[in-house]
Amino acid sequence: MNVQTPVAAMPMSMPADYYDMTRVRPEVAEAMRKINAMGPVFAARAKAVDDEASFPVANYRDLAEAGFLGLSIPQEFGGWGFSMGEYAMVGAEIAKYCGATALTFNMHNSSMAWSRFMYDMPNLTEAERAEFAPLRARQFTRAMKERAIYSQPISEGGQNWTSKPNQTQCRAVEGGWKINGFKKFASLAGYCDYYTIVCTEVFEGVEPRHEDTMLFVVHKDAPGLTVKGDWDPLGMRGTNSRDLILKDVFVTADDLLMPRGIFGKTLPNWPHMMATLSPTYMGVAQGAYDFTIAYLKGQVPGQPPIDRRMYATKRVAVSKMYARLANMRALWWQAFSEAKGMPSKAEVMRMYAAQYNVMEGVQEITALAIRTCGGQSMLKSLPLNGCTATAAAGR
Amino acid sequence: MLPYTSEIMEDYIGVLALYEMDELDSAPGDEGGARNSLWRGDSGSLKALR
Repeated sequence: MNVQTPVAAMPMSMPADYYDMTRVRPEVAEAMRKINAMGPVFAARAKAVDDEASFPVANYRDLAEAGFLGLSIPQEFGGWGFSMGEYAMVGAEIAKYCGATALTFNMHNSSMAWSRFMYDMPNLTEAERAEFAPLRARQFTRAMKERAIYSQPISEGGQNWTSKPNQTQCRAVEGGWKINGFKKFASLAGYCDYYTIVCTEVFEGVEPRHEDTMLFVVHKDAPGLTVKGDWDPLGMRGTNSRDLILKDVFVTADDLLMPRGIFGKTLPNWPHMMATLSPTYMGVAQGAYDFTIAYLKGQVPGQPPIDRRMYATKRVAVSKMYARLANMRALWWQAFSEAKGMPSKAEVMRMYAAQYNVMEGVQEITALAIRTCGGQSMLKSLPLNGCTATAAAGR
Repeated sequence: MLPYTSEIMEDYIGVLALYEMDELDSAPGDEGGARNSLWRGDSGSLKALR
């Protein structure tokens, strides 16, 4: 970890405050401990990243050094082999300190998780799995040996890719394909090493179809790939989610993240994969609650040590925050502990409810935090401001 | 008038969230009567009754 100066740390909740640690593998507990050790440094860097709407490069350096880029990568490739639920727990710990780091880390982790979990789906044929094996090995090796960071831009600006095929298209040419299109809110734009591009293969005389969805891994320096536009949003300012333009970007079969047809065959049967923004917002909610407690106790570094706990109105607000937070955490943890391919209808409904509760609950908790902490919460120098703007960005 | 159950829970949670166990008996508040039965671990006055 690259820590130049000691950081005055605000007291924060720890995993044992909200998880039954007897149900957590020691490796996962250790990963969360490492994040909580690095967290105060992430939090100290957050203001500059937010002010400049830049990217938490130094946090990624620390995460890579500690091995977190391989969190979801199978152990036979040198990774940690964490389950989706275990990843979610780690992601939520990062978000307590820096929402932008957690959200962009989710993008990298998702590319690794797709390669990991889709390969294990029971509805793949042996031939499909054999074709898949070298493709995922290539990406895992890049992440582990080169410490490559992946981005996963999907949004195309108002286009609903679940009801209509992706508008970014690829067309077969000699030796491969050429990709043309546009990605909106491409988190890590200009900072990652590879972009996982979801696109639709088009054929002469055939309407674009969902079943022709293709996933290619495109290097940041590939000819025809450009990052465009400014990035000056209200919240999540450190994600650097600018626009990505793809103009005749040439790719080959070696650049596929997974073989043709696998995406459509597997992703709809792994629905928890599309709920992976919620760890960030679970952590942001926890961070806002922790700040409120520290503020009322007079324990925020740099602030006068004023005890504000005697006010009954503030105590009631804290109780409402905790009651909401505990409720969110319990459902969310259960839902993520059930994450797998081919879940039951009940498991999917719980996951939808967890996602809904976390994304709504973080708004309520940050609003209560502002009411409880008063005018101080508006100061950009304090982390609650970042939590609130980040929560708003999750809407 | 006795507080409602929800108000008692709000008081319990708020106090436990904001005070350490050894501070509970001295925590200020006007719901002291409702807090008599609050769980205090091994550090509270109920220990004397066991």
